[in-house]
Amino acid sequence: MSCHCAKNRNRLALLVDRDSVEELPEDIRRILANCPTCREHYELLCAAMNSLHQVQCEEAARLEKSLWPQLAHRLPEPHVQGLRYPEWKRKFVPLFSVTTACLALLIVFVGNRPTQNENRVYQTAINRGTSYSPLQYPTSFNVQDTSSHIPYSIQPYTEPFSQGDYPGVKSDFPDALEAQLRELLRQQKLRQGIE
Amino acid sequence: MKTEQAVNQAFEKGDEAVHRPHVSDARLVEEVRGGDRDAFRDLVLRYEKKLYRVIHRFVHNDALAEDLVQETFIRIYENLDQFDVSRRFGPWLFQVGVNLTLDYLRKKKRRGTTSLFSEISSEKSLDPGAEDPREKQDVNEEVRRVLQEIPEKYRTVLVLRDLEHFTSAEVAAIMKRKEATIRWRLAEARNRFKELWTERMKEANESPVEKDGE
Ligand SMILES: [Zn+2]
Repeated sequence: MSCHCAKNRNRLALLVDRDSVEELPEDIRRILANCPTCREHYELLCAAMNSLHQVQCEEAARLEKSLWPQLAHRLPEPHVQGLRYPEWKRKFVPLFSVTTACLALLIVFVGNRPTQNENRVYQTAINRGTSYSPLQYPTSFNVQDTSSHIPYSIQPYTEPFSQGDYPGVKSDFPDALEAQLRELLRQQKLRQGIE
Repeated sequence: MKTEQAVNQAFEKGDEAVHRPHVSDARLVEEVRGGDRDAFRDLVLRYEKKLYRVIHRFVHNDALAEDLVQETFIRIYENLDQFDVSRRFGPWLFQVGVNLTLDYLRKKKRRGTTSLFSEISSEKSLDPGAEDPREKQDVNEEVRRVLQEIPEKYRTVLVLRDLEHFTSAEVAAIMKRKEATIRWRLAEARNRFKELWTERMKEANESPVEKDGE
């Protein structure tokens, strides 16, 4: 009869810890009964595994004393790393949130404050209905462009609050720009015959 | 073939010294995360014996095994924040412990001080004065030697599955492999062990004549 002995090797190896041949699947029992090669392989497997289990029983090392006393000294400081942060967050995050919200309100309020001079040529983005972040207040202007879209390129506001000004609102225009604006204003007034 | 010891639960915990045995591992982990050091002591008492025994299987040295057990628990303590409590603590602990041990042995092997897996003294098992070469001690030494000849990936499965009686699923969790892979490796490991062991036994049966003549 033909037997796939090589193929049976792994299967037999996985069945070797059965307590008796009777516990083996029917087809394996038949193979063992009919194929001397497979039978020999299985018997030698059993003998080898018996020796291994013998070692397992006799050689199992026992820890006589607990390692905790030594280990306790070696552990890093109380495991509060995970604790500290949430506690810190719990205490300070609401405070920061309220402060930030107040600052934001203040900036928005200042940005929306009605101007006394209605003839002002330059306007804030809010006056023009253009939304922007108070922290991105423009610092550079493109005066040539007087059309309806935003008259200046927007650059993030990265400098600290300017002295004598409201936080986030920047008013130190470049001198040349101011001169140009004055000139525009003068020409407008001239046209209106005020001067 | 299975001994009584073999039937024990693979992730068997310590013994009478275990505090609060009714408290789950997950609960203890949460308590440690909350800053309770005593909860970590409970975890240590729960697992140290089993972990020591497993590590000792690989290093065969009491002091070294103790060091590696301590090192394992320190790693666990340091990384407890990252542990997913929906998973089982045992396999994670043994995974860290076994990897730490194998890493240690690999480094040691690279330095050329000893062969991987054990620190068997060569003069012990080749003692020509031994009356019966199959005395228990010799059999143990022989088994260790044969194990040493098996490649690490098979040997580790053999030790965890056949010496420490973890289930295939548990070995898979410890070794981060699929269960099918572990089963295949186990079959391969047993077959390799069988081949080597049979060869040794043949040699041992032929050698007494030589010994008598010496
Ligand atoms: Zn066959």
